[in-house]
Amino acid sequence: MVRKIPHATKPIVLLLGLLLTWLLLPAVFKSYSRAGFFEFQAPLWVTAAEFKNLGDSWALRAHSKKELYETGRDLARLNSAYELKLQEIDALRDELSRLERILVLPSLPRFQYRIARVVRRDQSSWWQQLVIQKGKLHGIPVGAAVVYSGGVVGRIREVHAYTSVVELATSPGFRMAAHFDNDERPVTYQGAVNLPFSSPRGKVMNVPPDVVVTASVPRRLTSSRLGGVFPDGLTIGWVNRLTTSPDGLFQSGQPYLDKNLLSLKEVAVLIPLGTGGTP
Amino acid sequence: MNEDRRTLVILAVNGLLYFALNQVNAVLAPLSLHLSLDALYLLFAFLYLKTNQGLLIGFLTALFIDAALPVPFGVHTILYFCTLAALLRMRRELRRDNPRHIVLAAFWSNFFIMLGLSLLVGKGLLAQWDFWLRFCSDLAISQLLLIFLVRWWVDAQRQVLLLWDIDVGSELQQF
Repeated sequence: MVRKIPHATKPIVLLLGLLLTWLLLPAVFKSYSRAGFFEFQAPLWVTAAEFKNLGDSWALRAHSKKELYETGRDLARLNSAYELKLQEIDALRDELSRLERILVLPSLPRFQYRIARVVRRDQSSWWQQLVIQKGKLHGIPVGAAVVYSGGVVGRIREVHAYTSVVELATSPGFRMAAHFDNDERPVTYQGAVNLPFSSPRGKVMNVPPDVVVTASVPRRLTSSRLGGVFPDGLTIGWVNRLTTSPDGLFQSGQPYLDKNLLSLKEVAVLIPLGTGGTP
Repeated sequence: MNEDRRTLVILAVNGLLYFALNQVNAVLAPLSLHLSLDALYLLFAFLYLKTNQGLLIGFLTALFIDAALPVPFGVHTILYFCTLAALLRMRRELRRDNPRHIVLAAFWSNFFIMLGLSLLVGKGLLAQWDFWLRFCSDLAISQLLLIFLVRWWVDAQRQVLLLWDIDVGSELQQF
């Protein structure tokens, strides 16, 4: 005779059955269904972002012609300044290539910039990520560096057909090689949990004991080319305090990152030239 | 057919909530605040739909959420199933016409899901004071909003079903 399951234990039996079924499902099925669910919702994020862009462009139309004329003039001046800088950079690049040839040095990695709009933000205590509107179809590789005008944004974690997921530099799982301004010795940067109503922060570790920073003279923490993902010298944050570890071998601190990192609208993906990023 | 339709409608409403919640969280991101209102995805299905329909809605909603997050695929599924199992155990004691019961069920479900998520995906963060400070601030704002929203949200879902001539309020709940 089959014994009837008591009402109170029925949900537990059901739960165990469901969990067991889920655990026994093949990994291939889970992987495909994950990709399917992501691709299914991606157009929603892109559409929402397009609507937002449309709203922004309509808001811009409210500006007077005088304002637009003044902005155009300012931009033209800025463009001229950048043109000069580009010429300077070309000259420096030639000089660098010449020195590399003479000294038989391996050449520095070069990158192609691909601009992408942010279509979604997930910034909780558990994870910090962005979804951008460029993916596999635009030649975005997994692991590529993502930057903005203020410096480092993060790294590409996942690439989908026409969207990519960026792990933010503020994410607790993010780590990269870094160094202080005018000090080539490498240190480790890691993301940290952001406290509410405060600037985003990270952690800097393995700092040599002779590095001195004070609250009045904070030091800039920049990206290092070690690891080959980021070019050298991009701003990560500013460190205004370092504490020595109990063994006295290294120091650690909390760099303060740019607040704009949490409200980015557009970023640039750095695609190493020659690895799918061929123009 | 009617049963399939209500599952689809509630799934669509959950999708809308998920989308709206993400937009709100994008606005809150510069303040380093994050809303988690997962109980809202499950409560209506638990209160007014059959167990298998509730589980199906919980399952598909969880997969939809998990797909875009850096968590092992299925974490939300496990949490939602556990929450639904706990709610089902309390089903005889809870009255869906009692607003206080609805608020309490939503409050504890949401708390359980947020805590469960922290324990499952927090890993190295659990020993950090900052993590728990952020968790508590997110929890406080989420729970506060949930208390105000839950009854309105359940009523709104009932009204949406009425648009398809499905009056769940007058139907007897089957277990």
